[in-house]
Amino acid sequence: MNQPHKEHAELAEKFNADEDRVNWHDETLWWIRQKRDKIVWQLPEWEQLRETASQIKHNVLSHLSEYLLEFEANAQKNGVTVHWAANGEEHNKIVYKLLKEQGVTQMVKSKSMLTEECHLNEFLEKQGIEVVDTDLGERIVQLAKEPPSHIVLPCIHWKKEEIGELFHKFLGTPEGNADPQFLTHAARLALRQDFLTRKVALTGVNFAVAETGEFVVCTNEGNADMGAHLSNVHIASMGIEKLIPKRKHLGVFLRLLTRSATGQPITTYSSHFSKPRPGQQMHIILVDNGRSVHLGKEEFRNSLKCIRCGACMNTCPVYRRSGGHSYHNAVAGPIGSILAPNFDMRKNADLPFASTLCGSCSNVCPVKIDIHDQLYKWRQVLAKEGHTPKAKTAAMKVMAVTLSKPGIFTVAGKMGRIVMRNVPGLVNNKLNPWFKQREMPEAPKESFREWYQKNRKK
Amino acid sequence: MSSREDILKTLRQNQPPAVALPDTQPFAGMKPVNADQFIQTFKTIGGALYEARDYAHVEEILRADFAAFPLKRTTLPQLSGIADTSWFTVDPHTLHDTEVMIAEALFGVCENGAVWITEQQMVQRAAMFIPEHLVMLVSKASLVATMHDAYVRIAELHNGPYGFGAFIAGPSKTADIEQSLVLGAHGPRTMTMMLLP
Ligand code: SF4
Repeated sequence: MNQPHKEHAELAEKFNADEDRVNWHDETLWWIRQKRDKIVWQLPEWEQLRETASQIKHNVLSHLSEYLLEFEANAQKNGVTVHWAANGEEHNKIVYKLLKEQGVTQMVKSKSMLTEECHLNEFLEKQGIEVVDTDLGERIVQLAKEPPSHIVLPCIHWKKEEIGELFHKFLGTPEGNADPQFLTHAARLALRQDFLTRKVALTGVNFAVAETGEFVVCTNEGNADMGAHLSNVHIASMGIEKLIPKRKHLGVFLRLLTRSATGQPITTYSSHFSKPRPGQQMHIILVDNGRSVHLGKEEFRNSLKCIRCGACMNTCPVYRRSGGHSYHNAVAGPIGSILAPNFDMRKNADLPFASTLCGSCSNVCPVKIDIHDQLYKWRQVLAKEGHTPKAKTAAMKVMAVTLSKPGIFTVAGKMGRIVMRNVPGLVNNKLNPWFKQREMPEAPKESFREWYQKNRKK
Repeated sequence: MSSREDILKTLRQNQPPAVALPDTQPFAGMKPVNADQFIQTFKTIGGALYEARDYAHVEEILRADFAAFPLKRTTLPQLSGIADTSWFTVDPHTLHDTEVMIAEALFGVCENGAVWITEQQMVQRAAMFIPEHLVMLVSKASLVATMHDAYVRIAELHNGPYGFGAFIAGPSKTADIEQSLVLGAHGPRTMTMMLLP
């Protein structure tokens, strides 16, 4: 953690070195965004649903301690053991203890961004435990010893030929075969053996219901279910903000989640776990890891409403062209950029600046988080604390002076437009950090202010 | 202090002022049940669908279409003529050779093609996920329009916890390799719906 790490701009530059890949990444994510639009437009009540979801989550945040206690009591009544973890380290130790109790050194795991946040795999590996990630995308990045680059599409930055090579090396598939159908089938066969032989399975949690003590896990692949139903011990790890008050609220959230995430009407499996099956142990770990403190920050607490659909990433012009790894955080993209500074302000000070503040993220967010406003507010907090990314600081200082003096702003804007229209190369140069990898847009002939002055008389 | 007490204490300090829950009632009953929508949607998400008259008709279809798969198992005693029913209490791991599993869901959801089924109808939880092919019976009369209506129905059907329940919508799938959709990830590679009256 103490190693100096590279900032977003620098990592993005690395990703941008391969132009074809960037274009492909950009287009693929935009295609998913369009699929989302298509299905969303079929529901006239969409905005009403988003508003309702946002309000339910607001209610949850204002009663989180009560709902947690209600959930705990109901889950215990259902025969589930409930653990509380203040941070990632405590979470990891609880998992390790449960594995040791079973005397096993292997475990299957389905997708859980929380365990990425807690760095569970690294911790367990050091204790000699082998973790097999069973979501296909996560398995691919795990074999490649990489973290996922997207919360819903973990290997969205990988090309099929590279996956073919990886599988050739690790699963013995024929060299040069890059057919997605064939490769998926090879992974299915390999992972089937893991499902059949592992005694402990860990899953994430999409929603937990205070009223009933049950929790819901959504997958398309069926890997969470294969793991859980064939295990002797099922461990479910969840961030404490995953609670919802009543079961009927799942109607709202399950309608929003997958439409927002991938443009599907629902995931293939929405599994409601309430009791362990006879003879099985079921454990839930409630993880705080900074969330309870975050709740106290009025301007930023809304980010705890996130249901991890990934829509804000798919739509983000910066994410699409810089890749998930440039965010150097378990959760990338716009939402990652407002969550990360909360954990470590110094290390993640560059992330709120990795945005154009276009607001597209806030427009698609199914729980109406004011993501771009929070990015802007983080910048103010970070600037005040003296944490601004190196490259943008000089330019920002000029901007700050300009913006604080309306007279200079008008002149500077006018000059800027004249320069841009006549000698764009002067602005599109290396000294302008916004220019890297992009042509500056054509400058409008007049500013809004000039247009307004001229037209208001009409 | 334990982590539990620590977390709760910090939460109590930091929770914003209480906000009331919104009314979700208006969403229930908002749309009419539309069986055609269910059929179309289920096909769009990768499923196959037959309209069957009764169990005998289901058996007929299975004999014709699933003849290539001798290892059939079912949760339904009505279909014991065509599929094995002696697996109810075996170790679930031994079910991995199941080629076709036939079960009956409680109801279907028109807006997304999903069906709701609980542990009781599954007999064993793994049985719905481990076979190569899943055949699901559901009655047209059971359909609800949206997920809001689905949870109204669930509240009517189950008083108390159901152990395990799931919405299942089509075959298992993944698009993790370059976003190419592949049916058959870890669960069944196909799902066939038998829509009864
Ligand atoms: S912030 Fe909103 S859009 Fe982004 S992942 Fe979370 S819920 Fe989805």
